[in-house]
Amino acid sequence: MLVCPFCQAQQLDGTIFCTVCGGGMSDSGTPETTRSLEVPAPRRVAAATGTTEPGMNGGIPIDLFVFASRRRIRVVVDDEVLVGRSDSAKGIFPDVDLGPDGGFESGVSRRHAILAIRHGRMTIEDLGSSNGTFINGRQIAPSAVEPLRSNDEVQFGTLRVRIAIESTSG
Amino acid sequence: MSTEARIRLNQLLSRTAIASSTEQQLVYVLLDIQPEGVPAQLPQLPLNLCLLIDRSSSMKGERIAQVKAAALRIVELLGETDFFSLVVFNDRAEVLAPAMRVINKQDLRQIISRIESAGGTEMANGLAMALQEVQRPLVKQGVSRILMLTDGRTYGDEGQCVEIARRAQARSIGITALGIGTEWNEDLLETITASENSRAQYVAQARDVATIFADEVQQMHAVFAQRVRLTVAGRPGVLIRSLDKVKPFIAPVPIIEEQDLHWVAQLGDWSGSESQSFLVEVVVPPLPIGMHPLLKLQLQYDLPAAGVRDQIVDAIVRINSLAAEDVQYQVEPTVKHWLERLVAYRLQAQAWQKAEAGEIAAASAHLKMASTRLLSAGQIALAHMIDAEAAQLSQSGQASEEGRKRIKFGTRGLVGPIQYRQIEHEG
Repeated sequence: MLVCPFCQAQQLDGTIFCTVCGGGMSDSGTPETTRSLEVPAPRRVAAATGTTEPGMNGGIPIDLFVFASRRRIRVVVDDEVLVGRSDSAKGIFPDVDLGPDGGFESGVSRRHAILAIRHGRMTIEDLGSSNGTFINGRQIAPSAVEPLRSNDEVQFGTLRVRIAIESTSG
Repeated sequence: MSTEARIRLNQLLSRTAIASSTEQQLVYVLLDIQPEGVPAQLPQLPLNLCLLIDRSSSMKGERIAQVKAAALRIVELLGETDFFSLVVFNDRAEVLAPAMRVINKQDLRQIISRIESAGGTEMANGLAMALQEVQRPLVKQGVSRILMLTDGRTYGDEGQCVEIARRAQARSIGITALGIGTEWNEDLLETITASENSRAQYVAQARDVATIFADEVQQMHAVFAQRVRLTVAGRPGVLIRSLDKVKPFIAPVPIIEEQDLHWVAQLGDWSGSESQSFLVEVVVPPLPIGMHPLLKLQLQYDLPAAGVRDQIVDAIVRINSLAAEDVQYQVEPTVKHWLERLVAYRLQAQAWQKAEAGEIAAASAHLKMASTRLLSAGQIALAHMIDAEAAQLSQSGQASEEGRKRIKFGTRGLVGPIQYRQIEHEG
């Protein structure tokens, strides 16, 4: 038997979402909360969110949902967005910092990958990271530009992130 | 059609291995069912379609204009072997075109162009007349359906509507009920269509009517298998907790234990252009270490165009039981994705029940959790909309009519035209 971390209802082993309250039973040591909607956006992003509509100024809002930490990171991709792990000693401050999400333990490199819009499409490029980048379980070659679609699951090292690209049609 | 056409059954488990345990465990099985070898040019089965239109005064303006244009589109898509009838209703119902073969399209166009909106909404009479018309032609083989569109609330005859709908469905006549605007009774339309081959859908924008009508005719024309039914036999101790369609839209499917450890579900007609997925929740009994057959699945169906009945496809679902220390607890992401969307749908349904019972805080909490589920499933816009509606509900004690409909049908994937050929990883 499992006990739901949110409502304490008893659930069968193997239950993924509590049948009483719908909360996540597993997949993460960190209990999730509905507050994940209000998680503050990272610095660079805060300025862009709310002012940039999809398609305007060429910027496309994209949400990165980190499974392990239940954190949602919103970023508006206009030119290149660096995904990695910050290291003040080396002076590396990526646009999307996965350090707080257990990036070090999960094998995220300091400069891991680049998100960018190329020919109107969202793309990802692995920057020769130590532990690789995977799209839906398939490892992508370093320095190869790969298209990224909404709902894709991207793995930086072993850190899993679901991508949601906001479209104008909603 | 050659008998090469068949249905393929694929399975994906939430976990391929479970820990050997003395307790029951839950496993989710995603069944992906795809037509295979269906020729691109199907010999079409004759259609028998009755269009049932609410012409109450609230339909005036853009709505009735769009509906008339969409009805004209249907007439264009039908062929000489198809039957078409047109019934309109307001305070009373009227057969504008009795069921007949679509030979004189010009007459039908004129009839459609003369529809005018006036009066109230009394649905039961309309439904009864539509059923009468659909039953008129003697079609030995074919696809029969009532396509209904309404924008209003019918009063006092709801029970009768459901009764007529059940009679139609028992005779293999499917019902598609489309609601337009914000005034219609979504609970009634959902009840009317709670059966295989039937569904309710929210037409959020009047201009979508034409696409939805045309899709409907195309889906009917593409039907290649009928009377599709799933039987599940379980090993001793197994329990099937639920069966839900998740693709192309979410719908709970009744599954009945007809005999001990032997379940049956009716899945209805199948279009050759459509892939469907179902999620089964299976309670697994304690198992010793080793590989075990868990379920025996059997899909039975008829191929009417080939004149073949009771085709069968089998599959065995197996599960590996390992020593606890050898089990890697990892959830299959595709199974989790669809489960997450299904859970969101269930949560919102519970929320409305709670709200009805006056438990506003609990209702709002359920909506918020539904929003969290959808967010993690990548349905960002819907998640934010539900979150906003949850906030309004907890502040004012009421959700908006439109919000309720958008959430109810949005979580099922039934707002606007349906993505029949949904690509898994598209936004």
